[in-house]
Amino acid sequence: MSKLRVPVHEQLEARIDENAIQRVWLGVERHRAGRVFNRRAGATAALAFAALGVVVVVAVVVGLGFNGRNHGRTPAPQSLGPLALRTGAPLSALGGQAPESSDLSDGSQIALEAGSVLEVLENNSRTFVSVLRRGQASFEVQPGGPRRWTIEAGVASVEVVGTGFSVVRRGDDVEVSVRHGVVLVRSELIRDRVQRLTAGQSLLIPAPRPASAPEAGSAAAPAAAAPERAFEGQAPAPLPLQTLLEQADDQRRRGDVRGAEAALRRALAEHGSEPEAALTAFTLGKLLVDAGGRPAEGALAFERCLALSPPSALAEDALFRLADAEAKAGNLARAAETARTYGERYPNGRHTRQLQLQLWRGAP
Amino acid sequence: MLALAPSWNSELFATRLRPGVSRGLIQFGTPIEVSDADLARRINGGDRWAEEAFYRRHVPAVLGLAQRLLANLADAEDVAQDTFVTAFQIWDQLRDYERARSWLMQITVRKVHRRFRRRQLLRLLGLDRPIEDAPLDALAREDTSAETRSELAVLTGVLSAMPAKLRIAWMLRYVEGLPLDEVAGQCQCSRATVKRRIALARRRVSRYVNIEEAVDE
Repeated sequence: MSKLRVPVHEQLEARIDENAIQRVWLGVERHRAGRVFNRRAGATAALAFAALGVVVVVAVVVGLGFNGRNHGRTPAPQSLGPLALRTGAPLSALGGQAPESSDLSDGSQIALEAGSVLEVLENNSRTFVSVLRRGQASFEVQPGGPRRWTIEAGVASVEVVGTGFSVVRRGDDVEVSVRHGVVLVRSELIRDRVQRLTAGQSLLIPAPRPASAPEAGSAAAPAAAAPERAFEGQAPAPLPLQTLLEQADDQRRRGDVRGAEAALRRALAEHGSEPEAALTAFTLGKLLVDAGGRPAEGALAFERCLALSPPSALAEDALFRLADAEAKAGNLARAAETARTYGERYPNGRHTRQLQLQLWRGAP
Repeated sequence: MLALAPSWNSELFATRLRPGVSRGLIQFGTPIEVSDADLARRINGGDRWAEEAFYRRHVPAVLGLAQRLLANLADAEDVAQDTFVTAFQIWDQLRDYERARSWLMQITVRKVHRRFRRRQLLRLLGLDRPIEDAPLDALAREDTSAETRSELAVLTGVLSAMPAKLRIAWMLRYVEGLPLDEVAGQCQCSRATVKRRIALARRRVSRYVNIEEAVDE
């Protein structure tokens, strides 16, 4: 028998990659932003208490209800038959007014934001198909599982094998963001009708809008032009930009990140051609990165800001924030590219040194 | 004027690959050194950038330690997350900025302890499904011999059957290679207690695995 050398860790190599580092950081940020997913802790505690309750009841009813010395563990993760909740309850629909996080029998996890609805369409040993009717759902699909997951979300469908990703439906628009792993997004509205997204990437698929906006005063046109919208309910009447921005400010101050985000997105959708649109997109980006812990989506907002020809001071800030968001989303190659652009455009820029430090910290 | 490289050339943003990491990491020609103490001071002043920089610098050590102690990747990520959340919450309790790393590791060990306690409770309720997806043999470097790998596999088995207190103390001493005083500090107990725990654990380990003795006891 050979001797193990001490310290043993010199013969070991921790399994750490950039995705894990990003994942943990997002968890820390979410926790601090007050949107604690609580990962498995809450579910475990709930399960533990539920089990304790069951044990007590069984013991009372049967007397010494344990069948001898029961060393039995919980059943192995279900691999055959339909996917169920970890508690064994069948899985049909998820969602409600409050945020909801569900552990599934194969070890996967689905977390829904408040007001979201996810319905199961097909569920067997090989396939799991669900539809996100509205809201935002975050998925952690157990890698190597036997089922092919498909999430339908209006104009797009997302195919998964084992990964972590989010799907957001805002009205008819759909946004898919991948935390780790790979997903395929299929839609008639994207190039080649399919796109592969990897960790840190996201894709926004805006639903087709009516070809031309109705003239002011013509009230009859919208219902005929967009029958799908009638199904979803009446679209709200446009609000002045200033009102929406004040609303967003107010919600942000109260810590309602989702509400502020919705107000800013609405401002961009309804006033995208106004001069303040660039600043609105910039504010949205900041909100998503700083308070929302969603740098990939924040990067998209900064890109949009830059595409709207912002004033030069804002453009410099937006380019800096874009590099920062890309780095935080784990897309270091793009962050480097953006940083180089920044350096070329603003050789004595206000953020040069910070950007340098920012990129430096990505080094091991 | 900012102290900056004269031009933003491609070297400045060169990416390189580190073994085992699929993503390109960005490295500057001349990294700017910011000490832990400086970062700690800035964090105390509410500097978010410093928090991220501190996180970036130490998360590999925290994750690595948690993986080795817990032998489970998901649990290790949970512990790392809890560790940094707690550290940033109680940052004002850090007295010696120079020892920020050691303080962080102490929090990590405390969180690992807590995780073991939870596992124990679940086991008591028959709900525990231990998945050791990161046993020591799976964490072995590529150039590790098959013989050493099998020793590591046996060691994982022995350790997983051991009470958490003994396991952690022994691992900090023999796997992490920490001096006794530091093990005592991380376990938050006296040197005598930690010596006793390590001796108990060593008796069990040495029945199955042949391991070098540490020299400074």
